[in-house]
Amino acid sequence: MTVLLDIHNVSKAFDQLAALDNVSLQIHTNEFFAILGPSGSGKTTLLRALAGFESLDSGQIVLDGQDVADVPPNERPVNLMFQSYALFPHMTVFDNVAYGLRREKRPQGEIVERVTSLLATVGLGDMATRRTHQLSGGQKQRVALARAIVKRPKILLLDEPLSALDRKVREDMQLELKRLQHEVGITFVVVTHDQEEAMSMADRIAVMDQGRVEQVATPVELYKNPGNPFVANFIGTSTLLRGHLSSGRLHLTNGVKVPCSLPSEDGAEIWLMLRPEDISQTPAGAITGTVISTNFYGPNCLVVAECGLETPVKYLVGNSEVPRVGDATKISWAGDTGVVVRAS
Amino acid sequence: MGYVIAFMVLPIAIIATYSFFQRGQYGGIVYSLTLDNFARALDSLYVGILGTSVALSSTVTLLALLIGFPTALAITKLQPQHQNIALVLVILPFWTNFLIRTYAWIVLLSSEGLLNQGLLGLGIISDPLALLYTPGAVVMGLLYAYLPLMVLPIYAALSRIDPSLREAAIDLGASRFTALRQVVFPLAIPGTLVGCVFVFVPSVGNFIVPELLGGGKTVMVGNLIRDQFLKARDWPFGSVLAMAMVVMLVLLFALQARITKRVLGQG
Amino acid sequence: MTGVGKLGWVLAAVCFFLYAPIAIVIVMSFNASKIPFQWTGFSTRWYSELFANASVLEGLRNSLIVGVSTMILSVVLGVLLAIGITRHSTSSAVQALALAPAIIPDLALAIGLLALFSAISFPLGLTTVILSHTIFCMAFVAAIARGRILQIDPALEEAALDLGDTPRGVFFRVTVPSLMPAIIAGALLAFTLSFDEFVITFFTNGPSTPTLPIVIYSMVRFGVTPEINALASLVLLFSVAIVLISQRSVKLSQSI
Repeated sequence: MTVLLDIHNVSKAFDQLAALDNVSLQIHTNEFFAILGPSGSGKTTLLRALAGFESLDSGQIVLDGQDVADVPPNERPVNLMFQSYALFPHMTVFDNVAYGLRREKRPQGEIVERVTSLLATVGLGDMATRRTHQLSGGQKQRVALARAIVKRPKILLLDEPLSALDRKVREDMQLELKRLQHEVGITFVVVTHDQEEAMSMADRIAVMDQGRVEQVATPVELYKNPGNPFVANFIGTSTLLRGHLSSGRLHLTNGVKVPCSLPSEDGAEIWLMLRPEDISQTPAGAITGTVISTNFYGPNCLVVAECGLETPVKYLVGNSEVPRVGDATKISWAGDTGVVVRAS
Repeated sequence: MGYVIAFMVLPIAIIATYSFFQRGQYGGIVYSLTLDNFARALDSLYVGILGTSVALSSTVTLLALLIGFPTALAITKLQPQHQNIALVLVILPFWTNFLIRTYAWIVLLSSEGLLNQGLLGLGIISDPLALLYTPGAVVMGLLYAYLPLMVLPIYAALSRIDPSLREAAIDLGASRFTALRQVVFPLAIPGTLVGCVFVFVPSVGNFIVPELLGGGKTVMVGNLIRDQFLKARDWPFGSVLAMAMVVMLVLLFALQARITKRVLGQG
Repeated sequence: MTGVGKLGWVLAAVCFFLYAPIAIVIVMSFNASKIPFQWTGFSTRWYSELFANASVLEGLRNSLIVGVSTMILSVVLGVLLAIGITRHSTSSAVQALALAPAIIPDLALAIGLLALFSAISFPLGLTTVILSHTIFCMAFVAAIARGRILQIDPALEEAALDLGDTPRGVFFRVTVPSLMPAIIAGALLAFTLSFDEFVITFFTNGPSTPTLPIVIYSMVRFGVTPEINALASLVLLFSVAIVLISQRSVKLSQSI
């Protein structure tokens, strides 16, 4: 895979608060990349810096071999789909989408052809003459998307593309975006705070927190092998337990010792991350606790139990075995499951 | 950029304008420093005029408040589509020619005027009342001119109050009037103060109404300043008077801002 | 919410109070009698006499020249000012200063401007009137424009840049069109304010170029006459028409 965008030691501070702290990242050609993080993580600042709306204090942004840090936004081969869509209210759908091409001074025939075919691709073929205030949320988003794509940028940035949509529309749009990305063959970079969205759409994800990149990996990799407690907590649901490893057994904070054959140094203090599906409720379980809530999830149920550890334990049961709130419960997990997560 | 330039034009114009105030009061055509003008201003005659202006303007403001507040309240209770029409109706006279509106009152109040004709005709009085050329006429004229300016800010403040606040008070046991008094009124204070300032400020500086409706018998600060500038040509003295007026108004603004801050609790 | 109830009477009374004097003037303008307060019959003769009155026509001409010039200048400057204070500065002192002329008593502004012009020995005439009106109206236009700017998504201008437009292009293709309702409302308001402006004009005008309000003032000082009634009615209706048109256009564009 070729590297299309190389973000190299980028830093930016606002009023002494570091929004980006030595961020480095590489994005490959034709991939669907996501920058994921909670609010305040710096992801939006990074996005705006890529688009050209924020200057950098230090570092380089090298796009296709060229440092673009000093290139103004209207000259960069990068286009942005805004979170608020930012459609021009005094223009029709067609004129909105054609705006960028007109600025490139393309011939009229080419503009008409490209705009109409792209509108058809995004499913708005018959909306060309509508005014933007007559559109639904999903339609507005497609116009915003088309407007940015039609210029065939090297990178398409999407700022929280699905946050304003209803749930059902959102799920459809996730599939739409993936399909579109393959069809037009442009590198997509999505910025979002919604980990489900990132996990389902992206080829690779960069998880950010407080201006730093915590981990860059594929969704599967992030889920199975989170690099630190933050990522473990942010991606998916998990239970993080602290313990002392000694001779193949993990000494938990409530005194219970459980078998643990995961690779790690003997005598080390570790965090063990367990996904809900790793833990099961069994009468022979070594850990006892009390059920504090049950959450229905379709095919199974997520049970949260207080077990005297530093955090309640979350585990899955089938719908036929759901305990009641307040019931006593016993749980355990196999010695070779879970992930040892180092504190960063 | 172009923005910054236009941005600068205005403040400079204003500052330049006022710096000439300063220059003016420090001496006449001879730009020498003197405080004589200040002393003259403190003469009882001029202080009396300033006092009259303040008194009359305060009366106008008070009347405007008493009439304007219920009016604004009434508008908020109209149906939403009617509220805009009502607002336009109230503000429309304000956008018309001030001189003409004052003139209309001459028509009404003069001894052959319509009001007197009506009263005579109805036999309520036997001689025409001297309505024109009285302080009362001046108050009337000023009130007529600036009442819309009291209604608008109060309306804006009232309409911004979350209606559920009032309903919560009633739900908790308050009577409708108590809810009005304890919930709505305090929250409307900032807007009310703005309205009072909007009425008081132009009233103090007005010279047309005192001249046309007051007949020169009621002299206000505005008239005085006008005369100094255009008749007596004593600009420095006129400037001192104007400065006195402006200082008073600045203090008023500051007071209004202070009270607003206190009521809203630094909101 | 409970209906208007008794407060409705207050509202009605206030409206009556506000419009009665105006209505009376309009009605009296059709009075055939030369003596203003005795109704002798319906006539439009005072209106026709108005159009033969040279000083009235001159005043009208001057007022229109000043009004249109002020309108154009104050819209251009007012919009730029509004953009400047809304997008490029967060200091509230600056904002207050920019909108100040709308709140300062016109007398203070008037004599300040007079002092300014005489200090730089600028001859008083229509030019000084236009400049003075512009300073005054600019603040109102800026206030209106500012309200509209706050409603617009700031991302619009960034989107236009992102799509390849130059900053100048963005201004003319995106910013100005989206401000159009405010521009129209501001222009009409500026014209009306200027057309009706008396106090500032009184101080900053030269002796040979009276505007209409000044002509009216000199007529009024001599007392009530039927011609004044006719003139007053026309001016009133003209102002009302402009304000209503301005309201319509603002309302129309708010649906966009």
